[in-house]
Amino acid sequence: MKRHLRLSTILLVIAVASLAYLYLVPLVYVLRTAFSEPSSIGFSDSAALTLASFKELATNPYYVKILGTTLIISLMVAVMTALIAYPLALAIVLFPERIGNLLLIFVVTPMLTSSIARTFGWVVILGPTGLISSTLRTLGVAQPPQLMGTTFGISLGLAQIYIPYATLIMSSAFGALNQNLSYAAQTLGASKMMTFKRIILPLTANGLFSSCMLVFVLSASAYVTPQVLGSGKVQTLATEIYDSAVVALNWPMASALAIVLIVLYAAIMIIVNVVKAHAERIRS
Amino acid sequence: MKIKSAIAFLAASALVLTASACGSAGSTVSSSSSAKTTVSVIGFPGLFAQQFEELVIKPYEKANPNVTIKYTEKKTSAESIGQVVAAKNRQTYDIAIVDKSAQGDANKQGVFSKVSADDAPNINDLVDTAKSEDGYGPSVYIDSLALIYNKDTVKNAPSKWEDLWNPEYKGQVVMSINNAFGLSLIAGLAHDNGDDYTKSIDKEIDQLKQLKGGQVQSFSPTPDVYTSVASGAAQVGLGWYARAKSFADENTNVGVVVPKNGGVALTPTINLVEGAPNKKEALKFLNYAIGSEAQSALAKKGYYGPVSSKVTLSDDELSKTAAIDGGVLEGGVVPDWNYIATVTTDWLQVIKQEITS
Repeated sequence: MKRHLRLSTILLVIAVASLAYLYLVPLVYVLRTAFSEPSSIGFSDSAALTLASFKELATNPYYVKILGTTLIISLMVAVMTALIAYPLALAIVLFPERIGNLLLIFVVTPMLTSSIARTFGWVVILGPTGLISSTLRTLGVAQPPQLMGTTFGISLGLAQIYIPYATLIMSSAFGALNQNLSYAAQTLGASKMMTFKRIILPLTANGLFSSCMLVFVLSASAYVTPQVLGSGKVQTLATEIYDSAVVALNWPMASALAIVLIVLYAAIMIIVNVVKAHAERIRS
Repeated sequence: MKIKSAIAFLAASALVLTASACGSAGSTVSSSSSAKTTVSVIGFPGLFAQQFEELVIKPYEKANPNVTIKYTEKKTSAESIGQVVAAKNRQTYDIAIVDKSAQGDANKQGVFSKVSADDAPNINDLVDTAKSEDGYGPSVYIDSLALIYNKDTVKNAPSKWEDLWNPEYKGQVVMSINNAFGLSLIAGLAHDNGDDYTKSIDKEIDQLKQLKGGQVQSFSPTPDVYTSVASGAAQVGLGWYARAKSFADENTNVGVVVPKNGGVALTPTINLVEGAPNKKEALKFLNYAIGSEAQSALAKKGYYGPVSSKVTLSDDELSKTAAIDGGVLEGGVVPDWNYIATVTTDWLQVIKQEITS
């Protein structure tokens, strides 16, 4: 028992030390850089701390717009993903096991393809000579709407990438759903809609919230899909961090944007947890 | 249970694929051997990297069997400089090829070392445009901004920068201008407008703003301008002449145009990195790269304007290169890159905030 405890402690120390070294140390470095004086080559060696990058972020409408675009895209992706993943996850849990398993394999298989390849697949579909534009032209639309370089196009690409993750999270969270409760409600005269509203939805709300939160956070930090499908016309926090770090070599600004992204994650997690707690209180 | 294991395997495979995709950024062209001295070069990617490897690195390695040149591709000059700066405490790079617009600040910050004719004797044979005014790395080739177009889909080939605004190409123009392309285009437009870009670029920025309303299909074409035009995804693009010309040799549906008396010279530099771990070998390679042998190969097979005055080309060969005298840059603009280097950050900021977003 004592030996077992010692082994656990050693493993815990290794895990904490690795996390501290690989996550906290770079994070502290990013934090320090965010408060450095901007320079044309990376950042100034001066030890002085400055809020210049944060001031620029708060006052320049360009960065405010980027934050807004990131939030809109993340929200659109979370909603689109939930609308598709939720019924899929319910079907996986509620359908007979064989069909549920088949559905699960069907949902998870796209994960075997790299997200970069899937994004380029969307270029073929959404591009100016792509499937959608060609079809619309065939149907007589002379000027098909541009889908590349729009927040909608980016959201579509991201939603397709995150649907399997959302479905997996939801289906595992819905595992405890007892279908007998639905049968009991219907036996007592509840309609299918009422059963869904009063029984299934409350019991699956936690899984739905968790997956929406994950998808929102992943969308806010996604780089490849916004970069490729955005055609350089739509900037998000992640693409702007890349541009600031490697195109403009403005490392303090890149770091400040990264801090904004982390604060955004924290804010979303707090909001979701508060909403969840509030919902729990109402339910109980 | 079996299904759960299968799903765990699929999820793990997806993670591995994602990780491998993330790890693919930044590639090296040639491999190294532990028995040899390895000179590490960082520079432009894609077609230039292939040509530089074929026309400069391979012949040099053949003549110097004890040296291996490891070329690392980076998308932009800023990215290359960023890598060099990030490695400054334990420098791994010896040579950096960067745009002249990015070199100035790097010199001021001590990222690169000065290179004299004692270090690299071929500096004595450089054409004036390629010489460094402050003793840092000289230019390694001359190129020009160019219009490229798809011959199959474009009825009237573009012939001047103004054609980028031609309604005939609406939604079919691709250009990546948040970099040296944008800086060169501003200089080219100012030349056409008869403006002095050292005083104001307001008119040129106003012109560029008009590209926002759907004229440009993408400001970040994937994978690049050349492929987008060749594949028919776009009709007209903004590219570099030498690369586009080489690309057009292999893709016959691609046309390349440098406006008559309107070319804009680009003079990228080859630099010795401060604290280079293999300084002696690096300088030997730098000297070779700006010498007549390498420059002749780059001019004849890659269409680059030679920086060495010792290169001899036939009239036909010269007319196909981006040479200032006798090449496609004849009568064009040679921007004051030293001045542009001082305003690069501001110009790029304006391009990003007022044009591409």
